[in-house]
This record gives sequence, structure tokens and C-alpha cells, in this order.
Amino acid sequence: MKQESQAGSASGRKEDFNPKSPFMQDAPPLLVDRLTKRFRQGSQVIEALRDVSLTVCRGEFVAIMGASGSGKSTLLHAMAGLTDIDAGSIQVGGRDLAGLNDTQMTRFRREQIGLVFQAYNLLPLLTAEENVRLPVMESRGGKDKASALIERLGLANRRTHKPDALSGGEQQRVAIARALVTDPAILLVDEPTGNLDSVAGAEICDLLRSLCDEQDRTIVIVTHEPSVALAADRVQILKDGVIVDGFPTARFPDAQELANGYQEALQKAAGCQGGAS
Amino acid sequence: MKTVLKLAIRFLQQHPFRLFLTVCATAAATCLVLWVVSGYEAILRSYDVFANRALGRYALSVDPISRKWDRQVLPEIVEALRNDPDVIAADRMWAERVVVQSEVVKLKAPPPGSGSKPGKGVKECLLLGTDALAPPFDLLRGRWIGQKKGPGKRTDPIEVAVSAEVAERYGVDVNNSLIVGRDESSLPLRVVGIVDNPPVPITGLMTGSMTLPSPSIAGIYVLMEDAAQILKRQPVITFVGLCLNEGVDVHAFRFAWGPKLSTFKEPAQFQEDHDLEEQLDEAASAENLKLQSYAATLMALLLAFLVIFNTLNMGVLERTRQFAMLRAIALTSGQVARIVFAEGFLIASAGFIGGLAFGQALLLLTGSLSGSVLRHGAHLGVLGISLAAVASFGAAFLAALVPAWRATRVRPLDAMAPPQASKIPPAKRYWYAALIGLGLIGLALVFTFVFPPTNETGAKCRLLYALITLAMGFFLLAPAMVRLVDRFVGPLLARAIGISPKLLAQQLSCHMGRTVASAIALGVGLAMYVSIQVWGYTMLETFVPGQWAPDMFIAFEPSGLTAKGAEEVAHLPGIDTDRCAPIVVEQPRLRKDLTDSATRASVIRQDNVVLVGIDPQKAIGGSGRKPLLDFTYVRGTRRGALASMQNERGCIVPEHFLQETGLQPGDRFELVPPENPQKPVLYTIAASVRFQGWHWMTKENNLRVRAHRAAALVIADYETVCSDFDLFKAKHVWLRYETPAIEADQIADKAQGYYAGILGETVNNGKPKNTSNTSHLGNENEHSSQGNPADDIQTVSTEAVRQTVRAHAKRWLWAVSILPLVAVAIGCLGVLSVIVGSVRARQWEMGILRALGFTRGTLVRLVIAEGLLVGIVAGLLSLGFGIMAGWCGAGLSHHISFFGGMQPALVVPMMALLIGLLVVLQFAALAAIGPAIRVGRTSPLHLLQQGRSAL
Repeated sequence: MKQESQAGSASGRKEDFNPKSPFMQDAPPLLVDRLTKRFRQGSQVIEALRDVSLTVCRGEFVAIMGASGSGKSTLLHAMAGLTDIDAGSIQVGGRDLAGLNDTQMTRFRREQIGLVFQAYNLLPLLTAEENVRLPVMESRGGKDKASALIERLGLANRRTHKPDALSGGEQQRVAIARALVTDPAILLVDEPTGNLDSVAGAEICDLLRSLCDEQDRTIVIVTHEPSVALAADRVQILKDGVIVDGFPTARFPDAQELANGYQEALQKAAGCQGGAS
Repeated sequence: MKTVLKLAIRFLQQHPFRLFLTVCATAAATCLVLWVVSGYEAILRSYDVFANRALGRYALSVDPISRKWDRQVLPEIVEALRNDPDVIAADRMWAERVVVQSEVVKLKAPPPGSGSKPGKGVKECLLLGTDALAPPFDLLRGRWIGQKKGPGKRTDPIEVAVSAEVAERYGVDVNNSLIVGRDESSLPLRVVGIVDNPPVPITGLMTGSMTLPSPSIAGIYVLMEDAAQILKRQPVITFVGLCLNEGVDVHAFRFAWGPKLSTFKEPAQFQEDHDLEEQLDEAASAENLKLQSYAATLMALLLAFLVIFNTLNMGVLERTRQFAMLRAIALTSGQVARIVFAEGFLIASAGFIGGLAFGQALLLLTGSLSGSVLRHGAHLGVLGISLAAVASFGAAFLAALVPAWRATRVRPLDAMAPPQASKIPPAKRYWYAALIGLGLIGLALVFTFVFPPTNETGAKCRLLYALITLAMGFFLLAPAMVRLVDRFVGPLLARAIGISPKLLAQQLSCHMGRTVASAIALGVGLAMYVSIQVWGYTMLETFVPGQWAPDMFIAFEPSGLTAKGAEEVAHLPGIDTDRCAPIVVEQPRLRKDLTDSATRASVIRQDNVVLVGIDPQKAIGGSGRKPLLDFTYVRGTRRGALASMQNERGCIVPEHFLQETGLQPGDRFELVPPENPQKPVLYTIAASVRFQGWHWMTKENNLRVRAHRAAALVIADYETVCSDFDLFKAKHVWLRYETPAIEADQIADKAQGYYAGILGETVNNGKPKNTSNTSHLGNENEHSSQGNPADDIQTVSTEAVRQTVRAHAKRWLWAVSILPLVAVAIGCLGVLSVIVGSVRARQWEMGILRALGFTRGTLVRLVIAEGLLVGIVAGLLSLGFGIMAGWCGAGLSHHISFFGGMQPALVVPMMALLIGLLVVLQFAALAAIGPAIRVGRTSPLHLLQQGRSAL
């Protein structure tokens, strides 16, 4: 059964909707329950996600790994409220995303979900600081928050630079700062090192780790790189739209080991699927 | 809102050159409106002076038809007019010359054309007795006559108001005295007011005649009973000044009353003076200008709309990813839409302010250069500024609608997707759209020509429908046209300029939206230009004398020719003896208003005809040779017409006369002899013919002897016309040249010599004045009041008439075409903006081409070719739309235009259209040259780098 589109109307709910209202204290920042998402290609229906369930606790850093086409990006999009879902539910901070209309969803996303894109997606005509301030431009104290974040992320001397004058790593840090400026409940990060060299990529991973450790940020990252996943607390492995395995990263001393573990999990899942078939 | 505005500003800053072009185009459009509207207002202010020139506060004047010395307007006519609820005042006027002396200064010589003639020691002045309660023109000083008198009381001395010119000439002012009459019969007059009569008239001809029924000729105004005392006889009504209620249509009133006035014992007519006609024409011109100003606003709005639309649309398409990101992290769809609207508003504001500044400068310049035309000066007015604001801000708002909607359709998810390469959209839908477009165009033609409207309102609706349908049709046709040009013209152009067709292939189709928009922006002006030219030339051809017309016309004034004299003229060297005939001319009223002129007057819906009496045998007879009047017969035959004219009071009429009146060959209609209205005469329609250009022939040949316009030129038997209208001598001759090589001047000289010989005195040779009705309206022995001898021989060649008509029309058409050509220039800015955007988007691709070994020259030619292709699309669409719109316009003018109704055939002025097309192609190429050179000068590495960052 297809749920009401998040972009659809939610008459009657708009008035009492407040994206800044405090979350339920005991609710996890992210709760995905039996999420199903289908795409239609001509007459063919493709199930991109099938009964995916995931709970991310406060201060937890979760990496979702998977091969291309496994559904990890679709899962991230669904968690960010960027796409509608066909079954199941997604709760962010205890609030079910289903039923929020487009405006409510936008406001909710702005206040409670920090998004970091692979391609940074900075506005080329705004300075680094202005890009960071973008989500809080109309709110009081936004400038101070942005300024503090810029300092915190080591961009103090680049604040007046425009994106084309920043390196890839710096641009991604600006993008992370922009995602954090509203103090969101959860940070959703899409392949953050995909456009970066290994050094810059490692710096970004360290930054995300430190945000989790020092600021108790809840982070969900989508990646196919073991070195990035290693920064997380645990890894969820997605294959063909299904979470097939998961493990804490602490048991792997380095990225190579984690890559081996990831491969084993995939093979195990393939074996199970083969046996089942 | 702050965020929205800030982002809008930053987005606009992203492409400063594009912003500059868009603002320039908007400013130019604003300026266009200011220029036209302010010019219109200035000319309108100038018209006020002209409007008051002829009749002052009166809308019309009525004078007797008769030219006899004792003519007068009957009191019953005045009473009947006063009883009409549309009439505010019907003031009697009695004009007489009197001798006036001043007690103050010695008389100065009167200026020419003042209405007064100095004699040998006689100081004459025109006295106008009137019972008007208010002065016909503004009072400069003092008061109007009779305002301190009670009914029936006389003042002593007699109170008069004098014209400013008379006051100056006699050196008198308010409370000074004048003396009228001589010696013991003289009477003192006390000046109580100075009237601001119009200055020396522009035409200078009719106002010189004391018979001009207009208060403008008066030197001294006096009450009717005081005039009777001065002139020592009972008052006579020379003419009547009519004031009409506000809102009364002067044309309709005139045509409704015309037949009534001719039914009185002594028939009267509305004065058809040239000045009066000019006044009415100027009012019509003012109305036309007003329409032009609204049309200019509409066009400016459309142009600004297209250019701003292009800019905003390109911006939205280029920023899809940025909008998606903004949607994902911060902004609602409404806020994104507001960014686009804010961009439009900012562009409009900058364009409006720039347009105001430039417009003011242009108006100052125009004002200083225009001299007398805009003598009240052109300056920014409320109407101009308001319409300019409508054009700029309205355009921006409309232009932002679709891009804003597109921006709202950007999904936050698009921020995650990799950039998409531009794809060629499927062609099928364009062909479907083209089919619908062709259908719409067909419908416009069907509803114009197959099912024509039956009334004026219907015709106006039909015209609007046709224009909208054609616009929609060609808009739907545009994508298919782009595909066709891409497919067929692109390769040819590529080969012509020496580049590989594959490089140019589908450049336009890949960016269908902006190609169509830029082609329309460029084509709007051309479409309007083409439609004006097609409409104008189509309408014009019916006014150019056709092959029926004789080669030459000669008038012998004032005595005319005897039959023997006419025969002798036919034998003058250079004249085809068999094809030269004397004609008699009258302009009688139709007894019944067959053309319905009272309610729907137009150039051919009039209440009278020009009747020409000519020997039928000479006119249309002849054996084996072309006759003098070489008609194309629509209904009836030459032989039948000849017999009917000779035996049955038959006549030949224009085909449009039959269509307007519903008459058929064999039907009869009655004409009212002006001098003998009690005895109407019947004529039988023998045939109808194509009579192209009879209007101008009768105008230039001075055959409209009584009224300014006529419903038809009717050809009848010479003897019959002479008998019916008491005409004794032919004053005019129509002739054909003996050989085509004959010069008109040679014949004119021979005719002049012949006429001088029979008169025994020197005669002059000249061209008839368009405004001159001297033989009928003036004193026949008084050739001119200005001391110049009259033209005794007046010759006009038909070729000269044709040239005059064409030159006049072409001047007008080109004057009207300036506006569309300015629009083409403005549209060019839109194309430039699109090409800059297109080049910018393809920098990476061009960098690769350069890296692969393609030369700078190839890239330059590639970009210019793209501009030319846009120009070709614009040209084809504009030509199609313009020709169709012009054709429909000419067809519907039959019902709408005052000059319609002549069943014109479509004329496509190829040369004029070619000029327009070349202008557009030139502008398109010019628009492409800048970006082309820039690309050519950029190194391959830079192109690759810039292209990569653009991606």
C-alpha cells in the first residue's frame, strides 16, 4: 500500500506543525521500519528497498554500505524525506515523515535533518560563510552559529572565499558546516569523499567522527568505501534493497579488514539467497 | 524574504552580461513606450490648436448648397436643428464685408490670408453678425458681446468683439472705438472683447474666401440685430454654427442630417471645408496615435516579456541543481518561486529606471529636433510612465510565471543526481503541435474570408480572434519549424560557410525552448513589420489608379470648353484624338442613403457620388482599340453598358458600390441635383467595373466638387448629365497619349497655348489643389484672394497620381514600420543573450573541438551560423504570421477601417519583406558575432576549464 506522498497535502496538520517542537526524549533520532520503495520502469516494477528496518540511536554514527544499485542512496533519500515511500515508516526524532506536506517537509528538513552531498552543492556566488548561513539566513543568531561552525571546522581563513576558490575538502567541510548550522537531529551524509582525494577524504572522515564523539551528533553515512565506513560505529550492509548484515566497526583494525568483513557478509548473503532460491 | 531577495540578486550577478542585456532590452522597451506615448500626448496638445482652427467651439457648420448671390440658410433649417436633442446650439451667422476705420492709428496693411482686402483707400473688414451666447474662440481680453444687455435693449454705441488680428491692425483694445461705414452713414462701435481667432491659416486658400462658413474669418463680431442696424437690412443667415452634445458622433450626426438638409426649399449642407476635414482627420489621427501608443505598450510588453523570459528560463534551467539543493536544505517551493519572481522584479526595476532616464533624454532630444511638430514639447507624462511601468513590470511578472513554475517543479532529489546532458526531445510531439498550429491558422483564414463578419463589432471580434489564433498557430508551428530549419537549412548553411554540417546539426533542436523564445523575440518586430507592409500594400493597390484610367486630365478654368473647343483639344499633338473626351462633373447626393452612410460612414459609404458625364462612344466604345476608359467589367458587358448609356440613362459604377448597396445591374438609383433638389434624376446601372484608384483620381483631378468624399465614381452619358444638372460647358478633358513616349509636360504646354489662344490672354499652367473647390464654392470671377493668379490650365497625369499615391502610402507605411524595426533591435538583445548562454553552456564541447584540431575560425563560424539559424527561424515564422495577419487585416478592414471596403487582392511587397528579413538576419548575425569572437579568442585550455566549471 502506497503511503500518502510526503509532497502531498496534509490539510489540518499545517497549523499544529512545528519543526522545532522538542522530540520525544526516548525516541531514537532515526527509526526506519519495514521500509519498501518501488520504482516503475515501463511495465516493470523494481523493488529498490524491501522491508528495510533500521534504528539509529542518539550520538551513533552508522555507515550504510552496499554496491552500486544496492539501494543505499534510495534509503538515504527516503530518510531525508526527499522521496516518497511505498510501505513502512520513517521517524526522525520520533516524528513520522509520512503525511508532511511539501512545505512542512521542507521546514522539517531544514530544522532537523542535515544533508551533506557528494558534490558539495555549494552556491557558487555565495561565500563560504554565506553558504553555511543559508539555512539560517532568516533566523536570529544564525550568523554567530555559522561563524562558530566555520571556526570549528577550520575554515576561519576561508570564510570570505567563494566555492571556486576552495579545495574539494574545504568545500565539503563548508557543506558539513551548512548541514550542522541548524543543529539538526541527524546528519545524513551521501558519499562525502566521492569527489575527494584520499587525504582530504580522511580529513572529512575524521571530522565526522569527531562531531560524533565531541558533539554527540547522530550521523548516517552512505558509502561504498571501507575507509570511510571505518569511521562509523557500525556498518549496515545493503544488498538488492535488503539489509543483509550489520556489524560494529570496532572489530576491524583497519579499512582492509573491514573490506574483507564486508565481502564476507556479501558472500554470505549471496549464499543464503542462492540457497533460498 | 531577505534570503529570497539576496539569492535573487546573487543569481542575477552570476551572469552580468546576460543581466546587462536583459536590462537594456527592458529599458529599451520602456523607452519605446515612453517615446510613443509622450509623443502622442505632445502631438495631441498640438492638435488642440488645429482643432480650434476651423470652427472654434462649433463642431459643424451648415451653409446653403446654392452658389447664387442671394443664397442663405432658411430659418426653418435653424429651427429644425435647434429641435434636435443632440444639438446644444445652432447659432446663426451673417457674414458681410464692411468698411471700418480706427480712431486710434493709421491703418496698417492686412496680412495675407487674413480675410480682409484693402481697396483703394477702403479699409474692409469682415463683420460677423451672430446670436451666439459665447465666443467661438477664446477671449483674450474683455467680454463677449451682448452680455450686459437685457432682451430687446440696444446699447449705444454698438458693442463689438474683434479678432486679435483686427485689434492689432487697427490698434484698438477693449473700450476703444472703431467706426463702421463712411461719412454720414458711419456708426461708432465700442470694442468690448478681443477674440483669439486662429492664426494665419495653414492651408491659406479657403480662409481667404469670404464665403468660408467659419467664424475664423470674422474680424468683427456683433449681435445679429446690431448687424442689421449696421448693414441697414434684415438679417440673412449666411451659415449656422452647430454645437453638439458631448459624446455625439460628429460623423454620424452629419450623415444623419445630410439628406434632411437637402430636402428644404433652399437646401443646405454641412460645410465640407478642407480645414474641417483636416480637423476631423486630425481627431482620427489622434485616435490612431492613441491606439498606436497602446499597441506600442503591448509590443514593448511582449518584447520585454520574451527577453526576460529567456533570461529567467535559462537561469532556472541552468540552476536546476542549485534550486534542488536549496529545496533540500532550506527553501520551500514557494520560496524558490519567489526567487524567480524577485529576479524578474529586479530586472524590471532596473529596466524601468534605465528606460525612464533614457526616455527623458530621448524626449528632450526629440523635442528640440521636432520643432513645430511637437511645439508643446514632449515630456514624460503620467500616462506614459504608467504604460511604461505596465510594460516593464507586467512583462517581468508574466515572464516569471513559467520559469517560477518550473523552479517549483525542481525536486530536492535532483540535487543528488548527476548533471544531465541535454537531450533532443522527441520530434513526434512537435509535429502534432504543428498540425494543430496549421489547423488554427486555417481557422483564422476560414473565419475571415469564408464566413466573413456581418457587422463592425463582429469584424473587430473576428480580427482579434484571427490575430490570437494566428499567433497561437505560429507558436505551435515554431518547434517544427526549428526542427525543419535544423534538418534542412542547417546543413546548407554549414556547407555555405565551410564547416562540417555535423557540428551544426541539431544545435537549435537541443535547446528548443530558448530557440523558440529567442526566435519569437527577434520575430515579433518583423512579424508586425510584415503585417503592416502586407496590409498596407494590399489596401494601397485599391487606391492606385488602374489601367482603366486615362493617361491625363486637363482642366480649363474658369470658362471651360465648347464642343468645338474640346474637339480641337483632341487634335493637339501628342493626344490620341479618338481617345480624348470632354467631361462634365457634378457631385449629387443619393436620394436614398443606399450605402447606409448615416450609421456606418466610411471612405466608400457616403451619401453622394461623383458623376462624370462623358461621350459613351469615346469612353468605352471604339472598335478594335482599347477605349479611353479601359474597364474590366465585373457585371455586365462593355457593349451592353454602351447601349444602356446611350439609350437608357445607363451608368457604370464600381463593383464595390453594388456590393455596398446591394444593387444589381439593371437597378436604378436616384440622384438629387444640388441646385434643383426638387427634381431627382434616375440612373440605371448598366455595368459594374473594377475601378481601382477612382478616389485619388477624383481627388487629384479635383472632381469632388461639392463634398470631401464620395461613395462612387459614376460614369454616364455626357448629354444626360448636362441636362440633369444644368451643366453647359465641359471644364475638363480626359485623354490618352498618342504614344507611350509622350511627356505630360508637352501636352500641358500645347493645351496651355491653345487655351491662351482662344481666351486671348495669358493663362497659367498648374496642378489642381487638392483643397480647391473654387469653381463651385468660391466666386467664379475671383480666382484667389491672395493676389496670385489662378491656374487656368490644370494638368494631371495619371502616372503622377499613381506616384503620388504610392509615395504618400510608402512614406506612411515606413513611418509606421519604424516601431517594429525598433522592436527587432530590442529582440536582438534577447537573441544575443541566448547565444551567449548557449556558447557558455558549450564551452567544454568547444574546448574539445579546439583540442581536436578545429580552428578558431571554425568555432567563430559555428556560433555565427547558430545565430543565423535563429534568425532564419524568426524570419520564416514572422513572414508567415505577418502575411497571414496582413491578409486577414485587409480582409476585415472592409468592415472596420474607414478606408476599407474595396475588396483588395492580397499584395505581398517582396522588396519590403526582403528588406525586413535581411534586417533580421543581420541583427541575428550581429548578435552572434560578439560571442563568436570571444570563443574564437579563448584558448582551448580555458574553454575546457571554463566549460568544466560551468558543468
